[in-house]
This record gives sequence, structure tokens and C-alpha cells, in this order.
Amino acid sequence: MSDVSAPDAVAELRLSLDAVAAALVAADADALHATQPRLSSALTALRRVRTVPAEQHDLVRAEVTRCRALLDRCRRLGAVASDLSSAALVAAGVSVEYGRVGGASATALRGTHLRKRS
Amino acid sequence: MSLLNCLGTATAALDAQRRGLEVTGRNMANLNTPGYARRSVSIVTGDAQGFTSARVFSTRDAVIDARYRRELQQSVKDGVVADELHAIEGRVQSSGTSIDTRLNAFFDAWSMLASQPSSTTARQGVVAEGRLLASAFVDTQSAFDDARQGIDLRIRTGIDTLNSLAAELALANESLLSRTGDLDDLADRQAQILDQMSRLADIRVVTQPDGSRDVTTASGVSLVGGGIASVIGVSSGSVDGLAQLSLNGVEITGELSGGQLGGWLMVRDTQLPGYLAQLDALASSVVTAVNAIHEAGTTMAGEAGQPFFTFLTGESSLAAAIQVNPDVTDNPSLVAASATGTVGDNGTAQGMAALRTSAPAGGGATLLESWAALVFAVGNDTRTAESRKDTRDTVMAQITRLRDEAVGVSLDDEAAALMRYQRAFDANAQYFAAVNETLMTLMALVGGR
Repeated sequence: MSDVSAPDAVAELRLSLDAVAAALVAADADALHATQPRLSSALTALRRVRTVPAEQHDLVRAEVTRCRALLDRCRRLGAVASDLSSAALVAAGVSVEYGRVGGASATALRGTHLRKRS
Repeated sequence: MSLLNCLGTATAALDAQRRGLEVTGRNMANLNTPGYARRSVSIVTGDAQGFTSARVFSTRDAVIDARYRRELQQSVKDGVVADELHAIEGRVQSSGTSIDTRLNAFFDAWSMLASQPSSTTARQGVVAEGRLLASAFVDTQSAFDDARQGIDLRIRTGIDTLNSLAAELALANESLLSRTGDLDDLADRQAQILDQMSRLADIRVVTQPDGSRDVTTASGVSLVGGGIASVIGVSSGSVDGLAQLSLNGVEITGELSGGQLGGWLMVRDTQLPGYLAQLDALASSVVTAVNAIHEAGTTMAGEAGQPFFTFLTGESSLAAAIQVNPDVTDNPSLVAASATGTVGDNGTAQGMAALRTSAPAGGGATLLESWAALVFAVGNDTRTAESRKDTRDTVMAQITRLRDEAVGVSLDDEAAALMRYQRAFDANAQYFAAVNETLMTLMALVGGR
């Protein structure tokens, strides 16, 4: 397995996560789907990093920190959006679950990040 | 970028996302709301610091809206005309009480008298059938008149509604001009009011650059101008007491030719008066023909016959005033059956019975044919209106579909969009744990935590 440049791999991962965040913000399902291959290949490239030259440590450390922040942002955006979607679907009487034959099945609001007002 | 800037960016992004989802939820919630136009969100990645903003806009098509209202005005009018005429048609064709039934019974009574010219009972039968025939004319005239009065009441109620809608539109315009309230909601409200107004009358709508909607009648008399609504005045006509309409001092009764009001006005002022005129003409023909024969005959006492039918004074039409001569009603022996004055002669009775199949003097059609012509006119007008309505309904269905495609909400589309969005996030979330783990490993490599 060849070694790859750590700064390049982390930068690519950051750009991928940026694209995921942008797609989440735009509530654009197509764009979100389109980010998957890029995220997947960025992750693969990152896993091939074996060593990081000492002079690149600071640079990589900063990029990794940015990536972590972005990852956290994506998680929060996605989770909130997912709960909002569920709420909207349930309110409209549409299930978010697939039934045994692939159709909609009965469901109740099960938000993990949003709680219904009692 | 400072921490505060980071927080600001994140907040703006979340807000944009929230609005996007909110709009989808709102579209779904307003699936069946009249006048609601589907909302869309335009997400803009903002300035150099990455701020994101979302703009919500409603998807309206002014051309389709205008065409929809134009067709709606005519479609509703044709529907109203068909419905009103259908009710009138039912009245003139009601078996047993219609004028043709009573005319036939009247001629049957004269035939009976012709076979028994000296019979008092047969004379009483002639008088009784004559009274029933007169009642049939009065009832039919009354039915037409009741229909006119009923329509007149609907016109007055319709004008009240139109005035209320005009005031509401002016209020919406005012809110829009002063930028108070959600502009898209106000546009929805305007559209809904204009649809309702178009259902009532043939209005013209002018959209001003500031978004306000001005409304005029087809001839250009202003009904709503910006935040000001004029009131359509209703006065009762001096002759018939029917509603007369005016707007800004201009008489507009004859100008409303579309929507429910256009339909009602057309039936009230054009078609029903036409039928009433035909009914009066028939009443006049019956009275003239019967009296001419009767006055030429001789009674049982050998006296010249009196007019069989007379007209009450003070009635608005001949059909409403027709009655059997009160003298004849009180004394059936005044019914003239003889043409010569000879005892047993039945010439007058036969001549009267012959009116069933022969045209009265000076006329080209028999009395029964004249009545049939009136029934045919009502039926033909009804079929024509129904046919026009059917054609309009087809056009309306097409335009409504076009409009729904342009501005309507598809629950399937909106739900599918949300579900696809959720699934897409779920798919990405599968990577997040692996990404986090890999980042931790890398951080360890570079001496971080």
C-alpha cells in the first residue's frame, strides 16, 4: 500500500465534509447523495496515510481539527434535519418507515434531537 | 475566522436549512388550502465568511392565473344559467298542471258540450275547465315571476359578497403596500379573493408594480384601486322592484356579463322576460280566439254570447290577469253553445273544440303549438346552456390542471423529497464514525489529541 500525502488527504476530506454540510444546509437530497462517493474516496485515501513528516505535523493537526469541527457540524445538521423531516412527514400523515412490502407503514414521531412539546 | 464568526456561520446555515424544511412542511400542511401557491426556497451561499441565507418565494404564474379566472367567469355563468333554466324547465313541463294539459281539458269540455248542447252540467264543465286553464296561466306566470324574484334575491346577496371581497382585497393591498405581514401570504390572499370575485363577476385585474391588485368591471369602472374599494350600490327598479346596480355613479346592471352575477342577470333580464312575453302572447291569443267564437254564439236564453274570458285590472301581465268572465262563472247558462240560436244547435261549441287543431284567426300556429313553442324555447335554452357548461368544464379542468402543476402542492413530491433527504443523510452518517476514528488515528500520528 503506497503512502499518500497526509495534508492532501486531510484537505480532501475537509472539502468532502464541506460539500456534505452544504448539501445538508440546502436540504438538497441529490447533492447529498452526490457527496457520498467523494467522502468515501477521501476516507480511503486518509486510511492509506502511514507516516506524517515532522514538518507537516502542525499543518495536519490544524486540518484535522477543522475536519473534526466540520464532522460535528454535519452530524448536528443532519440529525436536526432528519428529525424535522420526520416531524413534517408524521404531521402530514406520511410514514417515514417502509412496510414489509416497501410501502409506507404506521409510525409515530421518534425525534432524538427534537422533542415534542407536551 | 473567530469563534463568534464560526457560530454566526453555523447559525445562518441552520436557519437556512430550517427554512427549507419548514417550507416543505408548510407546503404539505397547505395541500388543500384554497389560493395557496407552492413555496420554494432559494439557498444562497453568502459572503466571504460563508454566511448562508434562504429566500422563500411562491411559485405563481400570472398568465395561467389570468386565464384561469377568465374561464372561471364564463364557466360559472354557464353553470348558473343551466341550473336556473333547468328549474324553470321543470315547472313548465310539470304534467297535469301545465298549460297544454289544461288547454286539452278545456277543449274536451267544449266537445262534451257539443255532444249535449242543452246540458247545464256540460256548461258547468266548460266553466270549470276554463277556470282551471286561467289558473294554469296565472300559476305559470307566477312561477316565472317567482324565479325572477328568487334570482333577484341571489343577485342582491351576490353583490353584498362582491362588496365584502372588494373591501378585503383593498385591505390586502394596503397591507402589501405598507409591508405588514408575510408578502407571499398576502399574495395568496389576493389570489384567493380574486378567484372568489371572478366566480361572482367578470372582473378585470391589473397588477401594479408594487404588487397591489386593482380590479375594474369589464367596461373599466374601478372597483378596487390600491387600498380603496368602491361599493356597488343596489337600488330597486321603479317598475318591477328588481335590483339595479351602480358603481361610482355609473349604471352597471347591463355590464356584468360573467360569473354568477352575469348568469343571474342574463336569466332575470333577458331569458325570463322573453318567456313571459311568449306566455302573455299565448294568453292573449287564447282570450282573443275563445272570445271571438263565444261572442258570435248564442246562449241557452237566446242571447248573444258574452266574452268568455276577461282580464283582471291591475295585474302586471296578461297571463296573470286572465280569468273566466265572472258573470259566466256565476251563471253557466251564459255559456254559448249554439251558433244559430236554434235549440239543439252546437255550432259554437264545435268551433271552440276545433281550436284544438286549428289556428286562431290571423295566427299561423294552433294554441297548443304556441305553448309547445314556449316549452321548446325553454328546453332548447336549457340544453344550450348545459352544453356550453360541459364544454367550459372540460376547458376549466385543463386549466385547473395546468394551474395546479404550476402552483399546487404535490404531497407525494414533497414527502418523497423529505424521505430522500433523510435517506441521503443516513447514508452519509454511516461514514461519520469511520471518519472520526481515522481522524483520531491521524491526530495521534501528529502528536495531537
